[in-house]
Amino acid sequence: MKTQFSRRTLLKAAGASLCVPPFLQQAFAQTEARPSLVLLMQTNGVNQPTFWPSAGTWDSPMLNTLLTHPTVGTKATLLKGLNLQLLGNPEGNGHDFGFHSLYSGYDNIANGGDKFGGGPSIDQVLLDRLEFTTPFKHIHCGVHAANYRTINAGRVSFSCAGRGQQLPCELDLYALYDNVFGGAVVPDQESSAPDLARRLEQRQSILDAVSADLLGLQGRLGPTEAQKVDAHLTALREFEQRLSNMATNEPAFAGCGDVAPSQTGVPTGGQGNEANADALFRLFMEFMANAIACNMVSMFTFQFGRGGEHFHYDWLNIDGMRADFHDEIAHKDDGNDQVAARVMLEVGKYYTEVVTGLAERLDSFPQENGTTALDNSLVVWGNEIAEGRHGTDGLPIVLLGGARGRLARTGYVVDAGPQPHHRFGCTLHNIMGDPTDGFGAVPDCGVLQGLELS
Amino acid sequence: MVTGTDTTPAGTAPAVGTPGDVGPGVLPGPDTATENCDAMTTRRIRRLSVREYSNVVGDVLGPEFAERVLATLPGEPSLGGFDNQDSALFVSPSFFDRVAALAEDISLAIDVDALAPCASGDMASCLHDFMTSFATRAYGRAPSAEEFERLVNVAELGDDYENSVRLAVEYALQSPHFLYVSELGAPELEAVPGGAISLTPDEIASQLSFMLIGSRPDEELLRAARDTGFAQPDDVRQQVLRLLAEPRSEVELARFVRGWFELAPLSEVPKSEEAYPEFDQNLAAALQQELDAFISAKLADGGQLRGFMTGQSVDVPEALVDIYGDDFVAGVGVNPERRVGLLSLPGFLAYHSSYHHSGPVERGLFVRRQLLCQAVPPPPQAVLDRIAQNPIDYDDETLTTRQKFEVHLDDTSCAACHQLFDPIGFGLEEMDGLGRFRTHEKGLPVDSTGALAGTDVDGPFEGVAELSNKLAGSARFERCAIEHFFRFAQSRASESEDACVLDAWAAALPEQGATIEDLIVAYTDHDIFSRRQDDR
Repeated sequence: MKTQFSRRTLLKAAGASLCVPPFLQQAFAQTEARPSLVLLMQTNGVNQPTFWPSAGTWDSPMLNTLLTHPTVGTKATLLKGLNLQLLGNPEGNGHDFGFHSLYSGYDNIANGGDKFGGGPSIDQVLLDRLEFTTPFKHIHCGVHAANYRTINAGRVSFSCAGRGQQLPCELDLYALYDNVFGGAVVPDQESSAPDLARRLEQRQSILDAVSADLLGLQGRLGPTEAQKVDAHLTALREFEQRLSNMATNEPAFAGCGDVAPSQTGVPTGGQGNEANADALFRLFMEFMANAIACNMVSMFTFQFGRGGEHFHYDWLNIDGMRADFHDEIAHKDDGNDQVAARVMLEVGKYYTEVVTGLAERLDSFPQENGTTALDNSLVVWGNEIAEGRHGTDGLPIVLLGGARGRLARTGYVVDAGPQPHHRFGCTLHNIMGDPTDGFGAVPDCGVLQGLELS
Repeated sequence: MVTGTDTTPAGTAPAVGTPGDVGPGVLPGPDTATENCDAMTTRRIRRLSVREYSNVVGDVLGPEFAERVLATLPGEPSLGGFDNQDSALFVSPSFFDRVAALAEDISLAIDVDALAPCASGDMASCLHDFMTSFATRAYGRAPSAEEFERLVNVAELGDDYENSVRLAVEYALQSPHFLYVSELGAPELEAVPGGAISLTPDEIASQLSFMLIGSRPDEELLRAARDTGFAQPDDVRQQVLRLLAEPRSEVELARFVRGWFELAPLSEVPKSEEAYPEFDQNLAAALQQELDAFISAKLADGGQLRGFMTGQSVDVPEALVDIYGDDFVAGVGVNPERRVGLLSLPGFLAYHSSYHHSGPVERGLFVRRQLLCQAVPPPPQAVLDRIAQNPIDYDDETLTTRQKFEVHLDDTSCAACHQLFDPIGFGLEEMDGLGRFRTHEKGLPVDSTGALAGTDVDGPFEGVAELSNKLAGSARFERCAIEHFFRFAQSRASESEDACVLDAWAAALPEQGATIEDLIVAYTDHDIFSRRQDDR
């Protein structure tokens, strides 16, 4: 007789046992003291002239879906004048430089002919320095182009635990739902509380045994190798915390057991037709908003493709699109090729619509004191390069949300002249409650000028 | 299926000098040897790659569970062509979550009656026996008393025998003793900071096993570890030969070859529908089939390193007959004047080309970097900016691909680097981006004259057959293969201090041309296989 309960059964049962009416569930979703953070990475740059609003206006051909949106339009902030600052002479090109440094502040490094992150990305640094109380502290996810050969293994993921330590980019949307929300399948029978308690005891016992195995190993290792066990133990403790939350029915779980994607059956993981990318982009936005609103995840990092991705955007049916967007549109957007400029604009408008969808959904979740999940979050929509020809000056950065009041105002363009991207990273640390004067490999860059903080 | 013949026997390539005497004008390649060779990998624990984890799960629980692992755990970066690189493998929170969930799912799905039958009815005894044998296979060694006690403690929480077995399996699948390969030496060894320690016989068995069959040691290997302690070189050698005779070893050696030639599944290759309307998943599958068959045939024929630069396809699928055109005649085989070695296979040429053209730059860089292990400096940012601002016009119908890229050699700032690889790639222009022979491109004659410089086989060549023949005679080519093997076997890239190790292996190889088996024996005979530097 199988007397075990799968984790998803436990999650479902833990949520169900509270019998919380739906209208009260929101009240349980207590938010953290610091903003939720979402870092989005787009690839291949933008058409600069159509991205930025004219001076003194809030009007941009590319961004207007967002900027003129009735509810979230004024919750956006544009950061102008950010230049990617390299500290040395790393291998690669703009794709590698920005993909790895924008959210880390470290130049990329070469390993085995490929280019990887040269230091921990900000998500990992914040995990190390701050206490997060959500069941899942950070998830790195994204969508990769289908049927595309990975040129450079380093461009598969920008989230990095340390020098060259690439974190996997989670591509399986449905597995993430399963993991975070306990699955969409309702168990066919109610589980009794004693059985559940028994199972939780078993799970804890297994974790204790794994932990003892790790500690036994740790004692035999030198300092460098011991870091591997440290990382493993950290992962174990995070998992253990979630198990503990389950056992005590922490409010964070209440009401979020039935959250499910609005569309099922879309092939993930770069499988199938490229047109799936469109559905997956939107589903991932929905997932991230759900997970943040339910207080399940503190930080997301998300990538719209690999570094320098080769989407063909067939699903947009853009007149004038060429065989390879990366090579023949982005690389040719030099101000003289009108077709390339127009296609870049159309692709940019598409991403604007997708990101606006994320903002809309976050904004639809009311939270305490009349705020919304968007007000209490900071979404950073960045791009590895500034424009399609690998230029990295004038990175197109859009902030969404109020960062739980840390942004003194929104709905304007920050333009304090050219500034190194490290300053923006430094500001991110400070917004997240990690006071510092530096970012990544630069200890004293100072904060971003022109962004009004409370 | 259409079968051709392999008309060029492997191993006919002329022997040339060693990397140390390749002559003046040769570009820097692998580092040269030092007199005192004490290069050694540091004591470490290496996390299994998803592939390795899947293999072990399959071995101890059944192949259906191996499939489940591959379907559940996220893919990992492949460094230098290999997925087992220590520096890229660690346990992140998301990986931990996935493994924990997987362990639970698998433990619920196993058939306990089949996995841990208990005919005697003595449940306690059966459970003890099962946990001993299961942990031994899963960890690649008998569990210590402490480890076994932890297994017992977990299993005791089960409500009955079946539940206890499931709990033991769930725990073992998450244990670091399952997830990592230990290269630490005996637990009781005193620290000798900076000194060398020997791996235990069980650890040596796992080193051999993961290299040759991609999984934990089988029972015979564990027995050999126990009985011989691998005290004599012959003890290891016997097991090497035995494992090489296992069908699974071909999978692992083919993995080495694919990493060496920087190959990934053809199904992942992007091809422009406009430039290559014939390219679809059926064609990709046929290209893959032929490539795999060629590698298998070479391995079966002794696996001579230079042999991969010789011979023709032995298994031309029907779907590739049009790709070969006149180069293939049913019943006769592939034209040996035009197609020689792995580089001439359409699958290789399709993989190593661009989205919508033949990719002479990519192909030239591949030969220079991957087959000759010669570093090419990255382009300076100023040059990158200029390239981005003046991209090559791929749509220009008035020039061949070669003519478009020759602009690199006309510009001194570009030519400084491009002269190192463009002339090599140009020599393959007779083969398009699907590996079809061509004399004309867009009505213009194709120029396939190329040249090798800065190597030990310098000189002009025309076409892939002549390039392959040159490389088959190159000591640097063979030495470079050894460097790739180092990465494959040691799960890390070689550093400058490892040059003496590579030299030692090279010196131990037969001058007339080494096989992969020779290389494995040279490796396992060397201290770097069985000893580690103490980092405590």
